[in-house]
Parts: sequence; structure tokens; C-alpha cells
Amino acid sequence: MNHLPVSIGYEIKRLRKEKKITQAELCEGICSQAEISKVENGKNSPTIDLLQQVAKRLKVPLSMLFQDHLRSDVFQSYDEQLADLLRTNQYVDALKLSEHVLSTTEYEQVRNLARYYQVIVQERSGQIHYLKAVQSLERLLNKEQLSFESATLYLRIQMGMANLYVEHGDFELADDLFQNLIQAKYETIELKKVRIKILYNYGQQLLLQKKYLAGLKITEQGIQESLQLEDGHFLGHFYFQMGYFKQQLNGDLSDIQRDFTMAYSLFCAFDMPIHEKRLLEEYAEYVLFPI
Amino acid sequence: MRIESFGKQIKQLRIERKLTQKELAKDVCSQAELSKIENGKTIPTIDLVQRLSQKLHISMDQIFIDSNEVKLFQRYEVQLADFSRQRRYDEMLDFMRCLPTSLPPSVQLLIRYFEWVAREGKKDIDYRTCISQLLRLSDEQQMETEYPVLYLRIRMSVANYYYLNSQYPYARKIYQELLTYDYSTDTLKKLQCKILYNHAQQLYFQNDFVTGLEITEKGLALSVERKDTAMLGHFFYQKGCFYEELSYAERDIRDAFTYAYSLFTAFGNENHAALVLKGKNQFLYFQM
Repeated sequence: MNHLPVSIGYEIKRLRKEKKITQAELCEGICSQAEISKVENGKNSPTIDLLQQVAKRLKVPLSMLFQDHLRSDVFQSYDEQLADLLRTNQYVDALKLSEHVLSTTEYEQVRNLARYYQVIVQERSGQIHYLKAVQSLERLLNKEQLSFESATLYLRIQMGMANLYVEHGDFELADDLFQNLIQAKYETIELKKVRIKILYNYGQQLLLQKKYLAGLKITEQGIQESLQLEDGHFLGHFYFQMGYFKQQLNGDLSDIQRDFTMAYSLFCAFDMPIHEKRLLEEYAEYVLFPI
Repeated sequence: MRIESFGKQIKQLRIERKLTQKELAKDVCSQAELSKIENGKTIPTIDLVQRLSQKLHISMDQIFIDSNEVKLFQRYEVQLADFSRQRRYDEMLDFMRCLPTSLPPSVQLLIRYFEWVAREGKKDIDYRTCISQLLRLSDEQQMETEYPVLYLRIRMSVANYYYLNSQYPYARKIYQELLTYDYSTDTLKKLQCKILYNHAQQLYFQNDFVTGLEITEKGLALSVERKDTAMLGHFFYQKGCFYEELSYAERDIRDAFTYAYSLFTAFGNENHAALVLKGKNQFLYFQM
């Protein structure tokens, strides 16, 4: 099913209401009110010419009408809820929510997200064997159009597979996947941000394998790319990793202190109390702040 | 982006992704049709645009943004802002005179903006003239709609001229307008942080520490929400300065400055880390 006209209509209506314009005012000299009403309700597929005129009247750039707020809101909201349930080991609720999504949402991208979580939760809670989980993810990955429709999800599923390998000690398979992933092309900012997450996960794998030097290299790369994007999501995690690697490699004490201190200040500044607490539990001695 | 340049955009995206027309057209439309679209002879339907966007791995809103124009805009912006900061106004005007005439519209507007800045800098024109010209430029049709970044930038610089010439109430009025602006995209939210920072900075120098702190807190919250590193260190530094003036507890002041110092270091911003170290050394818990 094609959602484009629906999302465009939703966007036009949203912007029109935000700017307190009536349908009649919006369509004057452009098209009939009946037509704009159909467009807003997603019943008509508008032409680009029409959209350009509407955008002009709404005083927004044309590109804004294509921001799929409806879908990205739904996607993001479920993603956050499911990730939360997973993090706090609430498997029953996570499965219930995935099923709810599958039975109520028509957005294929959101459905695929739910399917992805379903597999991860089923494996975590011991309902399916991990190799079967990997297989299911592979199947999801090979679904037609997935790589086109949601490059982000496509990468995340692969990362999910790599993480499963890591958790079960299949480091070689994980390594192959991660290597593949970091060699892929990341053209948009959104994808570049996914890449940062991948670098972090790869660093975690190398940590578990005690490959500290290789891990340090990946971590440094993660820091560099985060700074280029001015993206703070994983910066604290990276400095934490770096401190750990240097500690294992018997690096300079002042270097290690610096890394853990920067990680600590990032977790505090960006309001990430769980990470802050975890850092203090084990590495408080390296943090230069008075605690 | 004007719809007429859409074809060029598709062609450029295709070439960047190293696809042939045949490869891109596969399962989307005929090669002949794609060729017509690229040459601007056909305006595609939105369904077709959607299928193209999927194959090009780009979202539907991004596909209508001319990345070349954006890059060009950024390049000239950095270059001209450098001239302006170093007060090299004659060179700046020479540089602008030698630019090709066929630049995209947003870049042309950018150049017009910097022309007024340079002429005011040379004192060819009075600051009041500069302000009224800039206000006129920012009110030009389509400016706010098509080039919100430039619009906000010009408004910000008007506020700055008022401020530099001690017209504080006027400066404040412009900033108050900017506070209510609808920052709807990521790029605009980034700019919003910068606006909040500048506003708070001016309030600090006007000794309005209470309002200034409020603005800083707003900028901090926005940076944290977006996990944006660009201004975070600066906001902590500002917070420390306001705390100092408002006689907050010693501990709060020390926290703010030490965070600023530590964050500047983490962000690889050594110049600012060194400045905190030099100016606020007595408040820092440690030196790294």
C-alpha cells in the first residue's frame, strides 16, 4: 500500500492548521476546495506543480511537505518504547507491543521494526535458539525493498545479527559482519549516525575479545566521526571505551583519567544518569570530578 | 528548490551513487522517461519520485534539496564570514566582484547580504542604512520561505548592529522575535542554539543576568535534547558566568566551569579549553 499521498496530506493539513489558514484560503487560485480536501485526506495523489504552489502559500520549502511526520513519529515512538522494554528485560510486554504494532499499523517500515524486535526479544527470553534468531533476521534482511525503503533499519538488523554472534561467542562471524558494515557507504546524515552506533558496537565486540589495540583504533574513529557530525549520542560511550582500552593496555594514568573524566562529564551534561552511574560503580577512582 | 532544477538533482544523485540511467530506471520507469526527467523535459509524478528516492537511498524531503547549492552556500558563507571577522572589507568586496554571475539564488542572496556588511565595515554607509537595507533584504519575497537559514542569519546580524551601536532595546526586540520563530527542521534547530547563545551573550554584557541565564538554560536544554555538541561547552561556560554574577553557590559555579572545560576538551576544542583554563582557573576542580 502506498502511503505517500496520506503523509503529504497529513503534512499539508498540519502546516495549514499551524499557520491558521482555512482550506478556502489555501486553495484560492490554485485548485478547488473539494480537491484540496481530497489531497489533505490522502484520497488524491497531488502533482508536484500543485504541491509547489501549496508550499508557496504555506510559506514552507517544497521539501517540507514530504517530511513524513506521521510515519516517523509512529516509527520513533515504537522504537523508543520497544528499546526501553528490551533494556529493562520486560520481554512479555515487549512481545505484546510488537504484536500490537503488527496488528494495527500498515506502515511496512514500522512493521519491519516490530518484526525485528520480536526476534530479538524471543531470543533473549529463550523462546527461540540464537541460530534460529539469526536466520529470522537474515530473512527479514532479504525482504524485497527493505534496503531501499529503510536503509537505517537494514543496517540495524545487520548490527543486531552481529551483536547476537558476539553474545554467543561467534566472534569470527561477528567480525566479518562488522567489517562489511563499516565498509558500506553512508551517504546521508541519518545513516552516518547509524554508522557511529555500529562503530560503538564493533568496539564492544573487540573489547569482549580482548583485542584492545584494534578496539582503540575503532573507538578513535568513532570519536572523530561523532565530532565531525557534532553528534553527542555515543561520545560519552566512546571516551568510556577508550579509557577502558588504555587501562587494559597499561597506558598513562593521566590519559586514562582524562578519558574517564570526559566520559563522566558527557554523561552528566547530556543527562544520561544510567550511564553515569555505571561508570562511577567501577571507575570512580579515575574520575577527576569530586563525587 | 525550484522544480525546474529537479532533473539536474536526480542526475547528480545518480552519478554520485555511480549508477547508470539504465540501472536507476530498472523497476521504476523506462530509461527514456528517466532521461526526459533528468533533462527537465518531464515533471515526474510524486509516486515516481518516491520510487527514485528509494533506489537512490535518500528520503523524500531530502530529494528536493539541492545538495550542490547547499555546499556552495556553505563554502561562500565560511569564506565571506572569515573576511568579515578579520575586517578585510576591501578584499571581501574584490572577492565578491570576481565571482561568477551564474550562482544559484541562495548564494546570490548571501552575497548581497555580505555586500552590505562590507560596506558598513568600511563605513561607506552608516549602520542605520545598513540595518534598513538588511531588513529590506530579509523581507524580500521567498526569503523566509525558501531560505530560512539566511533569513535568520540576517535578522541576527541586524540585532548585532543595534547592539554594537548601543541600541539595546531594538536588539532585544529582534531577539524576542527570533525566540518565537518556528524552528521546524534540524538545521534550523542548530541555528536556534546559536541564536540563543548570542542573545544570552548580549544580555550578559547588558548586566541582565536573570534573563540571560534563562536563555542559556533554554539553549542547554535544546542541545541536550538533540545531543548536539556544537554549543554545549559554550552554554556551560555562559552558565558559569551568570552563576558568578548572581552569586550562586560556589559549588554550582565550579561545576559549570569545570563541565565547560572538560567538554571543550572532549570536543577537541582546545582553544576554548585553554581559555577556560586561563580565565577561570580558580574555579576548576582539575587540570587535564
